[in-house]
Amino acid sequence: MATPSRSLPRAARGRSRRERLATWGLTLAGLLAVAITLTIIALFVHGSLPFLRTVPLGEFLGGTRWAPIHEPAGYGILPLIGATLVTTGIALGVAVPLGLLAAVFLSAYAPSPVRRVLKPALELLAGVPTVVYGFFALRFVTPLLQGFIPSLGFWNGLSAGLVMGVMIIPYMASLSEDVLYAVPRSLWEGAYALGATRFEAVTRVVIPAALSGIGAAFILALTRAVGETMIVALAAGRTPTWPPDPRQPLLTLTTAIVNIATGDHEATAFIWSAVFAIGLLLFLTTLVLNTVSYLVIQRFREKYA
Amino acid sequence: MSEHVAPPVLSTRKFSLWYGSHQAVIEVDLDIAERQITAIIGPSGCGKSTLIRAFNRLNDLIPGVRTAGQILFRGEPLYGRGVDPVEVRRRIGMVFQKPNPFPKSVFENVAFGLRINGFRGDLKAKVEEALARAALLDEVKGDLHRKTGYDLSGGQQQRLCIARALAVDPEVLLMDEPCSALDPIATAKIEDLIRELASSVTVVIVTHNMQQAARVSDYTAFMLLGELVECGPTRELFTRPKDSRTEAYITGRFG
Amino acid sequence: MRRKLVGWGFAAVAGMALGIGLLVLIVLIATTALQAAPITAMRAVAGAGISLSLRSMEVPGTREAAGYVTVAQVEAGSPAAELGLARGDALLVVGSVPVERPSQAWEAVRGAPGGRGVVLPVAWLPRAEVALGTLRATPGGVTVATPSPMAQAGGLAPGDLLLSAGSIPITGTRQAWEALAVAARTGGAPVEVKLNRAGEEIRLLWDPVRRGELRFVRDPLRAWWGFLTTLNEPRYPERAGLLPALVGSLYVVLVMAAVAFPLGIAGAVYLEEYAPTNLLTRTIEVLVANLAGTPSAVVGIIGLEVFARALGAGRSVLAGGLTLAVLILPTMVVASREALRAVPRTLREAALALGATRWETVRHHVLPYALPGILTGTILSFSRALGEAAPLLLLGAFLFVTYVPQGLGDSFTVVPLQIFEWATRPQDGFATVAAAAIVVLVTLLLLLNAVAILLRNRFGRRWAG
Repeated sequence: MATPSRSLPRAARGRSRRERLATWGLTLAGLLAVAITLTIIALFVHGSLPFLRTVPLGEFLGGTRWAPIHEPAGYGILPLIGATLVTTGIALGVAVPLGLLAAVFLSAYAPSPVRRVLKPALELLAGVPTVVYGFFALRFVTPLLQGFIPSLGFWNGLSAGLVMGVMIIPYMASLSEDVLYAVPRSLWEGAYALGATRFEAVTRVVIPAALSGIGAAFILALTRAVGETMIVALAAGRTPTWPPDPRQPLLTLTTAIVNIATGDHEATAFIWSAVFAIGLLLFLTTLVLNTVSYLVIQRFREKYA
Repeated sequence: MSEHVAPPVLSTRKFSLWYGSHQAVIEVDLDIAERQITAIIGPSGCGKSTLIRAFNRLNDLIPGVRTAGQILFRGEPLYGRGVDPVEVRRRIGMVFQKPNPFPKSVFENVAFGLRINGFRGDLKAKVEEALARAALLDEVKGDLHRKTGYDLSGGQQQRLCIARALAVDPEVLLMDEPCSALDPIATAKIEDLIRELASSVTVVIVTHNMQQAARVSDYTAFMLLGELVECGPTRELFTRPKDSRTEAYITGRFG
Repeated sequence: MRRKLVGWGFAAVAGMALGIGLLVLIVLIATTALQAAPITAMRAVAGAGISLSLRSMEVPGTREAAGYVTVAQVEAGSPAAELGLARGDALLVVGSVPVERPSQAWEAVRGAPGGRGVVLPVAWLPRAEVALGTLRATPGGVTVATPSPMAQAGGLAPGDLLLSAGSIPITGTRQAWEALAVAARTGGAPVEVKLNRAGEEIRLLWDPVRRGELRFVRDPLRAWWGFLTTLNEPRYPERAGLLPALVGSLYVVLVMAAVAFPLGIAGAVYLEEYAPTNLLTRTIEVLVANLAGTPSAVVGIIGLEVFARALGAGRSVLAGGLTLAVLILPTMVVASREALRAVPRTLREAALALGATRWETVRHHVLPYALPGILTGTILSFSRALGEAAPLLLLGAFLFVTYVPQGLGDSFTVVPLQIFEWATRPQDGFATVAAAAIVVLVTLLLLLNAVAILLRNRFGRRWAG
């Protein structure tokens, strides 16, 4: 039984050393994300300095010839940006409508047993490695498309983009479904109470209410498409072309990195610096896009919490 | 509060508590008498649960919580600097609204508090003693290790939670509406148990059920909108309330 | 009525959108499996003891090239060796099919009627020294210097000036034999050889082709088992093996798991259980979300710069595992946080009210409760890492690894990289091998996913109460 007159301890006891240790250890683990981000930024800024000091920014961002290992060298990044925009555009053209419709179907129409089967199936689609999609684009989609478009190259941006779109469908679907799911039941009921059909409730009330969240999902899909490497490396080829043509081989930002990193030539320090410059551009782009999308989704959640 | 001579175990001095900008407890002065049962009643949202959770500093874990004033535990400030909330919670146990046994065996449920507090001695005897004090031992004796907390009925679960709290020999046992999730028979058993426990431990019980407060407690405090309206011996408060708001509440005119 | 129709039409379109996604998954798996099918026949040819390689000869006077298949390797003691096939011979016919490319030999074996084992006639032209002997380039053309016994038996004599084989003009010493091989394949034997002996043009009808029968064992089980358990022979797709890549993947994932699992959970516990709500915590959350969306190529550069170069780990298993750990850490944190968030608050309060410290509460109650959820998330992120190729490609994991890595410091390849390497090879048969490796990888990932889903359903139900 308790002794009534014990006073409260002022100092920590033996156990609290373990507690302090755990707190410190866990805090360090939590700060790892900060450390990694800072490392990336520091590394990429430092790494790309030799390049950015030598090549004028105007030539880098405005030039239309990318040939870092040729004589004379060209350091214009526009062909790479153009190629990335082409494949990304095609991919989003596939993924956004299909993913969004699939999400609407799952959240508004599918009866729950169907949903229970389809959702994991969609997750499986998301689990297929990108190198597999790349092989599929190269060996199945391109030959198939060549039947319709004779001018389509063995490597081309079109089939890479299309397959990338398929790869992104599950992300788009799953993210939008979360967002649609978060729309409060009361909004649905309000629409129904006014005599709206399910279609009208979805298109006039629920989707507008979820629009900011869907926008965030769109941005996340965009960053995935911009950062995708293996599909384009396998199916889109490695040739920088300007202006970019989806029927022809393309070199995206990511494949330009791969190209230099895996090339047969001697990668000099200067060319490596170009890799860092491209990497920095990619990282900053995705950093901005991801942050925007994260904040939008947070705001959206808070709105309906 | 002149009836008892012993100094109060817990006393609040102009104690206030805020959740962010919302003030949930407003300058409460309340004494909790040793080895007595004090009930805190009031309509929902009156701050009674918040107050009882302030007694073992469970509110510390909620972000944005701020306090002012003091709570004294045997004369020492609970919220003083250097006071380890962990030790506070060991000495001031708590039983919650919904039974919340750990998803482990009955034995482990009770033994956990002993183990983390470095108990040396006969663990089995101590666990059985706690279960006996919570009037649960006879019902679970055969399968202390086989049954998990979730295999028990709601009332048994709540008594398991009481046994778990008693095992570490707390000086005060806080009960936050311990019967609100239970049926009348299970409730009756717990009420009997609470009366028995008062011989060895101080009990503070929050309830929205006035009959329960009247049946169980020695003292009753009535709270409204974060303020302590009135506190006194239970019989007195229920028969001759001093404050008109108390009277309105106990006669069922609101709440 | 019209409103209803629009509604149903929309539902149908939405359902179809989902259907398209799943249809692609099915088409992807089906076509890949189909492309992988020839591996049985490929390994049957390899099992008979020969490796094939595609050569080509430019046909003089035209712009065309004629392909032919040489025997690049003969295994000692194999049926092919016993039959007399040797390195450098040209394989002309398998079954009844003239063979222009290695894939045609595999197709012939694949398509031959019969059960598991088939005996097929094969025809080949022995290598140049055996078939022709020594030739010399002279101002007038290609002259026979010392004919081999076989050539003598066919009617060639020293000093003969070779003019053509079949209809193919002979323009070089090596090309003479190639022309013979192509002529024998396209026109059949005997081959009409034109030559100039002492100023006189002679037409010889010569049959330099050897014939015999080879037994091929078409056993899918043995073929796949062989594919999974042999070292990689990078030059010949019929001897390609996935073992180094499988072991490499296993090692890299183990290193990654050892780092990412504890750190991921620790980060999640910090954010969910410890972190105060302030600007720093919010920043961390944004950064974690960001890192999860960072292109894997960027992470690969980090791996190369930090682990391979700065920390001196080189292009090793260790560097690869650490790189993948950086890649999946944010995903791990996000998944584990979700599992921790599902732990009821009352459980934490129960432990804390007993005087447990925060760490004791987490260690004894919160983590065990959240573990199934954490494991589900872990398996899903690990399976993502298992399929990841880009960061390791940048790290410079060797594409041509033909051995099994023994330790942390060894260079390595992983299955997705091996697929990438095979998929980019232009030679016959590598697409088949790449498809076969994809079948292996996707099967592995499906199994992992199935385990994760089972785990989630099982424990999700058990502790729902």
